[in-house]
Amino acid sequence: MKTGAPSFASHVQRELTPYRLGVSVAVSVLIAGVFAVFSLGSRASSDQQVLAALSPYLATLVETGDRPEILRVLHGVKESRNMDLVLVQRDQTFASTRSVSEMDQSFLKPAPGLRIWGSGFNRSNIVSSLPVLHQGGPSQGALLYSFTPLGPTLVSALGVSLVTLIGSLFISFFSARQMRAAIKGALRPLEQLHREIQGLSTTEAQGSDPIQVRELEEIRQTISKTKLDLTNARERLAEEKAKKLSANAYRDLIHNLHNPLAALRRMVGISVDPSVDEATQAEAQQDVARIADQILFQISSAKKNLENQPLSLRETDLRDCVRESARIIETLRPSDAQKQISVVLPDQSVVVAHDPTLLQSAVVNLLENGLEASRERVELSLEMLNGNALIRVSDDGPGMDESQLSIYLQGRGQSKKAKRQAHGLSSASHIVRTHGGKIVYKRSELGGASFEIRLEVAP
Amino acid sequence: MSRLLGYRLAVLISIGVTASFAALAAPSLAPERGVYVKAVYSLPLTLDPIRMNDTASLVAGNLIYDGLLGFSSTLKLEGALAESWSISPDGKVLTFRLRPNAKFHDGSPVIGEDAVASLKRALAPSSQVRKYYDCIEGADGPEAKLGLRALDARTVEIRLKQAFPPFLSVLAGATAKILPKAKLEKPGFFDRPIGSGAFRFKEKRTSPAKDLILERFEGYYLGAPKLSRLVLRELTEAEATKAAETGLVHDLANWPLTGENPVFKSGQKVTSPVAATWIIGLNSLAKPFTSVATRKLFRHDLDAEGFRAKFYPDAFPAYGYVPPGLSGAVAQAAAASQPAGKPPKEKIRLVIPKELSQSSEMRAFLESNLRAKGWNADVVPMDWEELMKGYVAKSHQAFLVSMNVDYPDAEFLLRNFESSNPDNFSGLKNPALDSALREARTQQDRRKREALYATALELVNDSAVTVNLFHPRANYWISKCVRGFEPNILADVYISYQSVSLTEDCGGGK
Repeated sequence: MKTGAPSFASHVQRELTPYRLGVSVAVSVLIAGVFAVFSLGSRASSDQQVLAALSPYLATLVETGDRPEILRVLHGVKESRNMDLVLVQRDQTFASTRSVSEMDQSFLKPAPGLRIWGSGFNRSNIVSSLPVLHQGGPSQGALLYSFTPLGPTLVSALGVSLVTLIGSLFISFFSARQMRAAIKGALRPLEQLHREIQGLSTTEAQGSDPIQVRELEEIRQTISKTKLDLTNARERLAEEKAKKLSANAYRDLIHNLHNPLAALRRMVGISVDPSVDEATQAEAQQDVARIADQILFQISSAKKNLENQPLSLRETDLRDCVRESARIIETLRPSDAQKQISVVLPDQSVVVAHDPTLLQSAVVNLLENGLEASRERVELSLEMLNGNALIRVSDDGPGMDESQLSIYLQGRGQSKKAKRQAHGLSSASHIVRTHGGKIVYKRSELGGASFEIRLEVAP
Repeated sequence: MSRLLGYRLAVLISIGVTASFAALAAPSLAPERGVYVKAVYSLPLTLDPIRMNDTASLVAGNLIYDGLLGFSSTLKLEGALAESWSISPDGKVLTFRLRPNAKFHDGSPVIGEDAVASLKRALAPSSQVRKYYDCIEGADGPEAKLGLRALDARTVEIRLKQAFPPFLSVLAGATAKILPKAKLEKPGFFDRPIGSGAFRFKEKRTSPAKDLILERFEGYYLGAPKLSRLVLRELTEAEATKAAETGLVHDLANWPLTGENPVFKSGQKVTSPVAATWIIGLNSLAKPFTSVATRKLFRHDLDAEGFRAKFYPDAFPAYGYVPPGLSGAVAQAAAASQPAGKPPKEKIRLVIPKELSQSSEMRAFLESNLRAKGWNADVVPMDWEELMKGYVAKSHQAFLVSMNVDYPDAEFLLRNFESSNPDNFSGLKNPALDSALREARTQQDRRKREALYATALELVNDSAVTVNLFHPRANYWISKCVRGFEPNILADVYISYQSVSLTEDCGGGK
């Protein structure tokens, strides 16, 4: 039974989505931070190495005051390493790659900022500095500063962060898909269990595979046992019902025999009444034989129905019974039969406790009668109406005198086509009564007779 | 050769000055939108690179012409018309590969023969820059043996007599310009010269103002300059500052103004060190300065620091002849002992340029200073042209000039004292100095060369032929409309205008 609630997988996914996004963002920020720290540290260290490498050569140039050559060297380094270099001597800018105007002016020391790994970090630059001197030589009073813009490193870190974010989102999306699949797999035992529970409402014997989860397997076994118990209980209930219906059938039989027996007694009385003329006596004697036949038939039929075919009620779909009945009739008909049989069934199942074999024979009897009475067409239909399941056989024949209905239902009617007693309707009626239902006659919409088997559907 | 910075070489008479100023104020002289006006103290006296001996001519020359090499703003040697070059291991053979897209203003390609012809001209007897190129092999011999060759259309070979490391700087300097051989010798070429620089000659006007008008060269190998037109306008310093304040000019870089000049209240101030030394040169061939003792005493008595502090307070004291930033610069004053002797009785005539804005005050200061120390000294403000004539003729006893550097090497300054140099203003003849300079030129080891320069400088200092006054700091005024202006450490002559532009609201392009 489907409901509007989301599936377990969707529920899990929805609940986890904020965490997935949060984790992706957190991981990307963390990795960007680590990358930035690592690359800034690496760059600071590299800058210091460059200054250390330049210092001896610049010391020579500082000694001779060769600014043009110093500028060539500094600009060469600037172009290759994207950094600015300033050589300061006696607090004056001697050479600078930043601006010509800055040279021979007082040098403004950069703001100290944060000092890590031997370099300073302010808002815009990594600042490193080193005295300019020969290895082991005296100081010239000169300092070499490097200014490496933070921008490119931070942009790189941002790029790494974005890549990481995209990657982690992709991974989380992929893992979410895998999780959904895993959840679906994990839910299969539950679905199996669900089917087992659904199977409780059917009477069909269904084999089921063991569930590979211990707790659920215990539940499945409990359900199987419960189903067996329910089946047994249903059968016992069906037996009880059958016994009750049998008792009712006997009661009905006794009731139905009352009138024929009363008629028989009257005929016997007439046949031996000296005051009645011989013709009347002879007719009465014939009626005695006929009525005796009817009584014997009804008793035989009842005995046969109750002894040979015990009622076995099963709650199954009536549509199957109706289809099978139509199929049986088609099988029994000649292949060139002209009369048409149409079957009208509802889309939904109609589950009623019934004995499919007996009920089929009742429906077949009605169809035989319908075909016999019809001109061209017989319709077999099934519908639910006001809590009753109605199996209807309608024909386009001449119809039936309703006053004769009870005679035919009791098995005392004469067949119009064959010179014999018409027992089909009474047999069908008996079967229906054993089901707790009844047969109702109406005029058919097709113009002929319509016999409805009405069975009460359990709420 | 020394050049005086910041002052007119060609002197206008007062009427002319007044007339030009009045004309400046006329609406027709308001700068046309998008036209860059650079004020100069003089229009070029010549547009022939081998005759350029003055700043005004060199400014124009650097705009119209290019050489094989050039200097960046920070003195880095860069290829100009040459895209690459190589030097033989012995330093004597230089080979240049010309750019395939280098063209002259008439569209003709710059080829090897043009470079050879231009450098040959520099070695002509009439060339005023010959001294920079006499290191070329065969410079003193027949042309057939000259060490200049075009190996093919794009390859030029220069052979030197001996290795001369500063020669690359000479080729990057203001005199080593390449001209089209095919048209170079035609009469009147330099009236409408053809070069390969960022700007082409358009016309020269005398009214309403004296202008040299240059136009953007679209085919410039580094890309067309952003300025469509650049005008050099001749003005005095006073006219120029007035014009700057009223928005009639965009650039006063030709005048290294002091930092406190009121003109900086409008416009932008761009400062830069500049490789120059203001000196009072002493002629060792003219009495009483024939005596080194007299020269030393004069140097001791003249209050150089007082002069600097009073008239150029933002300049740096000059403790030596070489400007800061070059090998041989002296950062601190040496302990000075009182020289022996007394001032001579002979009259000393110290000439100073009349065009200096405070020439009268300078005259008063120097006369007062010297006379107080017992010198019979007159300070004479003199027209620049006349001053230069006496400088060349070595007729002045003492003179005030600015020594500028054409290429960033102490050799450029020191060669002025070489005996054989016709520009040796001091008349000094010192064999030891000559020897040190000769040896330094061929020395490829930097430290050894600098040691030789140090020796030479010591000899110059001992000879006391200069009183070192100060090293100026350039303060360039440019209009607020100007973008991309970058000073050059050498001099304003080398400022590149290829990337200079005007803002859109001043008529600059997008």
